[in-house]
Amino acid sequence: MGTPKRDHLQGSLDLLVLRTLASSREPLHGYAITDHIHRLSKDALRVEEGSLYPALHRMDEAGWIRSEWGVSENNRRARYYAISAAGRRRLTRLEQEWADHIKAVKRVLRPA
Amino acid sequence: MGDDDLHTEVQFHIDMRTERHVNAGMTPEDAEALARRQFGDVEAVMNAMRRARLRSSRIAVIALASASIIAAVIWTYSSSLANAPVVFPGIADVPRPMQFVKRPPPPRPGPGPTWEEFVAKVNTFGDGKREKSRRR
Repeated sequence: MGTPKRDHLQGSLDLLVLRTLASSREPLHGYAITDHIHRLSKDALRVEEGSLYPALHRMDEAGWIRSEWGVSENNRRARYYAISAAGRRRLTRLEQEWADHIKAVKRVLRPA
Repeated sequence: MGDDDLHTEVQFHIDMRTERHVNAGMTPEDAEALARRQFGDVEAVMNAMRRARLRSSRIAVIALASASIIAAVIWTYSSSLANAPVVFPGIADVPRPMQFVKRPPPPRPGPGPTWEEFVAKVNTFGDGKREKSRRR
């Protein structure tokens, strides 16, 4: 059982990865996922590779994403990931949890 | 997923980052060194990837083993109950757990005294008391 901080960080990584894959029209490899998050966050978020790949494999095993080998833009063998139906349901839940979390933090920062 | 696949995936990431650094003007050697530093401990990451796969496989094995044990226990129990009267003829009369046993109804009480008998009995006691009070 992880600490709340670790669970929270893991939850946000899952959320970012699932949202990235849900927004993409085609499967992405790990490097493209980190690049996408880095660009969309305007360099504010940088996904640690040491966390990303174990998370991808964990989510693949959980059935939230699917993976298969393909050929990259530079003709290299790469593993591509795409979100599954179960992953979309998980994403909806994580987005709701994240919104609730943000609301709670806002209430503390600016009490009525 | 084998170790070669994990290594291929990690190496692809490092190579992509190296290429980006080269495109930004770094020498290939510096670019690769920086990409490896940014990635971190390759072996530690691969171990974490193996653990992520192993954990879910272990959960699946435990779930399968538990289901098999439960199925075996249920089958053994039900088959032993089914064969019990054949192996042990007398056991057919033994009440089994989780089975409704038909018991005979409790004996009904016999008919009580008629009204005349009841009144006569009550009057007997009453008469006795009255006789005592008369004696006093």
